[in-house]
Amino acid sequence: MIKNPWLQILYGVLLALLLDGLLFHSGIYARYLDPRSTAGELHGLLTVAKPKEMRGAVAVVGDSRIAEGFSAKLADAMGGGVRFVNLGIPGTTPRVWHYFLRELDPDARRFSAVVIMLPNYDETSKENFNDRTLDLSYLAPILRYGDAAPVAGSFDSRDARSRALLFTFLRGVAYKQDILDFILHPAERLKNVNGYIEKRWRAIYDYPGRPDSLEGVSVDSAGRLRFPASIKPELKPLLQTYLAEMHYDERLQHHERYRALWLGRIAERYRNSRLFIFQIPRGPLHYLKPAVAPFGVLAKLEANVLPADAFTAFERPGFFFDQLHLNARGREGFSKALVARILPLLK
Amino acid sequence: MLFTSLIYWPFFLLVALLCGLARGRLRVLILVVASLLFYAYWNTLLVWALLGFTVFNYLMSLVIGRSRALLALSIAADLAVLGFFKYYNFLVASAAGLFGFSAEPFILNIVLPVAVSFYTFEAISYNVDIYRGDVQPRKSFLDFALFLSLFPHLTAGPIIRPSNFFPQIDHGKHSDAGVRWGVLQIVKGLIKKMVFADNLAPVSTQFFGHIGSSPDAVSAWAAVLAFGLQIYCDFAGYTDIARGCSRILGFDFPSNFERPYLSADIAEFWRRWHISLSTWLRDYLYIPLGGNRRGAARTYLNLLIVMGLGGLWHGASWNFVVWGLYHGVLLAAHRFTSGFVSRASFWYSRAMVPVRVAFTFLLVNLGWILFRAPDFHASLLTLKALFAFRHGADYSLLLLPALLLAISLAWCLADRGRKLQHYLFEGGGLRFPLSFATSLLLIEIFAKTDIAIPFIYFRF
Repeated sequence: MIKNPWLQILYGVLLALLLDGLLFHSGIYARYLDPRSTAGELHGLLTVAKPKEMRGAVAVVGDSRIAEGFSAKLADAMGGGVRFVNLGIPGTTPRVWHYFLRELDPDARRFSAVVIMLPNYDETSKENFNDRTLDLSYLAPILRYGDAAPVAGSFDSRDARSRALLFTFLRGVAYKQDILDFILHPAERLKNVNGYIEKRWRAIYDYPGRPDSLEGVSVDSAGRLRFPASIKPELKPLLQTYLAEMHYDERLQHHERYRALWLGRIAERYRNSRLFIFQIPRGPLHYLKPAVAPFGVLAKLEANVLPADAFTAFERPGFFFDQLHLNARGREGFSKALVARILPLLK
Repeated sequence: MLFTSLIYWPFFLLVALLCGLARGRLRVLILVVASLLFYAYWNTLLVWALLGFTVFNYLMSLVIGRSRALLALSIAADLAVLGFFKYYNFLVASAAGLFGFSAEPFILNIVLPVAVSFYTFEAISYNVDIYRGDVQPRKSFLDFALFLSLFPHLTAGPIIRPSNFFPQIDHGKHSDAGVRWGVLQIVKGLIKKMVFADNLAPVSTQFFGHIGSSPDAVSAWAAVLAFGLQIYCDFAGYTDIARGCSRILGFDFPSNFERPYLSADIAEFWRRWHISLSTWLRDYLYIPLGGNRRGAARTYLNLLIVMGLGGLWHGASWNFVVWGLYHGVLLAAHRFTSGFVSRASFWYSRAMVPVRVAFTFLLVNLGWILFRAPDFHASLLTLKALFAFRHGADYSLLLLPALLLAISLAWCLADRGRKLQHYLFEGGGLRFPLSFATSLLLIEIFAKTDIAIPFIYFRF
């Protein structure tokens, strides 16, 4: 019989941690995550990408630009027996890729090569990726208790660090919106979970890309954007912002730290394997801005960093459907070009 | 430092540990220092305002004795502080509207000290009680400083009375049962605030923050119901945490809420809602005005004055005054009708209790519109919208408020007389850890943690 109330409080806290672990760290709940959510998508992808037939494939890792811009089906067709797998997860960043690859490929020997995209070698986004707490939503299903210190320590702000600790130890915090949604719509969730990821995996493989195109978008001599009549009105402000930001040339220190940390960790895991890093076609108007050679941490990485201009031929409006993503034509051309670059290096 | 923030709990545990180790005056000193640190977390400068206020009232309490003039001076000075910080700009703007001059040159950029309404009322009750001979002035400045500033109740009450508080300094109530009871209150408070109030807040904010020209009935009812539940869960949640923390530190504060939405009439509601304020207003305003001893008309007038001023206490806005007057009218009407409706009539029968509870709940919730809407125009729009039924309205808006209301009702039925909660959190063994762990898990999963929503009564 425990009589001391402080001891009872301590036991209560430990019991809560244990229950959280049983429910959420054991993977019981992860099976019912909404497959359309960030955590659900990552968990689902892990489930379908783990089978043995993936062994020996070339994994192409990235964000939505890989999901939209790379076709594993086309790559397989011209790979001469080498299989490709598209691991592009919209909204993800190198921090997520590191833990995702650790989970998918624990001994770093599952794939014959890992090919990782980078948005730009001269990063133009001002966002401090070190403090991107959205990463935690993706990482929720795969973080382990031992990751608490390294993950929390990789964030800059105190708030983000606290959040990372909370998400690592109390996974229920990360899943709360998902759980609430499950409680309110249980039948719909069960229906969605059942076979969704397999169907989606198949759909990703067969996906031909978006047919829309920015063909006709141009920049006049005064630096103003000119749009053809066919352009969707909602794209205009996005393209204006893209053009304005395209000319930033700020090699920000936080990007260097972020790359050094996460690309460094990925390179460390795959130091005895084949790791390739390449610059994804940067945008529809980047033909106006010369590609920059890999610098800083990229130049020092123990990885094969492809030349900066390897895929700049696709940085034309006709290959994009918005300011970021390749369209069907771009997808086809880029996939073939990537395979053509990678295959000789694998031999 | 919010009770719902991560930083508060290590702070509280440290203070509780130090208090547990310390004895006598050292314990009081630790609590005063901790309370000032707690207050300084919001604004360091305002600590000096609180200290100045404390010193002034302490000195006045030593000399008031039976002097009506000195009592009047102390009350006037306290109300001047409250008036300046809280009502100066409101009065200037109202005068400008009335007399047609520009208020802008007279408006001051005043920072409202957190909790000023609460500690002003406590200081007034202290000096009045000394004048009435109900309590002796406390010789120790530390004791008086602790009375005004003890951190769990500092920011939003309950408004404590000197006769309740000071004996507890001398004879603190430390016990194992007290710690368990305190934890129960804290857990209840966190669930009310973080699970109920914070999840309902977006529903009401979405409506009242963006009232268009023609809101529809479903969204208006959802917002009104959501805010009615939110304000109760928010304020009662705060009070539960405050009482729980205080109990662990050795102080037993009186109850501030007794399931007020189960009241069968408006008078009962005010006996169960914000009890420390309503009893303060009764003892220091209503009764001195004559209460119900000077005839029916004067009683109704007293009710209107007390409730109108009670409304104004909440905030510097005519909306709050009208909200208070609305309740004054309801109380007067209740008093009037009680005079000729027999207690033996069908209306007062057991069968009609649910109807009377629902009717009272409806009246109170209609009143919250004035409390929550940004101005009169928005209040009127909301009232009109309650009857603007339209085809194609989004009924899903009602889902969350209705679900949480149903859960609350089910819990009240299961926990009649609060027997269940005490059973779960009392005694040795594993029952307490199991209940505590389950509660923590509920908070972990269902609390809204993506945005920090301050307690509503912190504004007052």
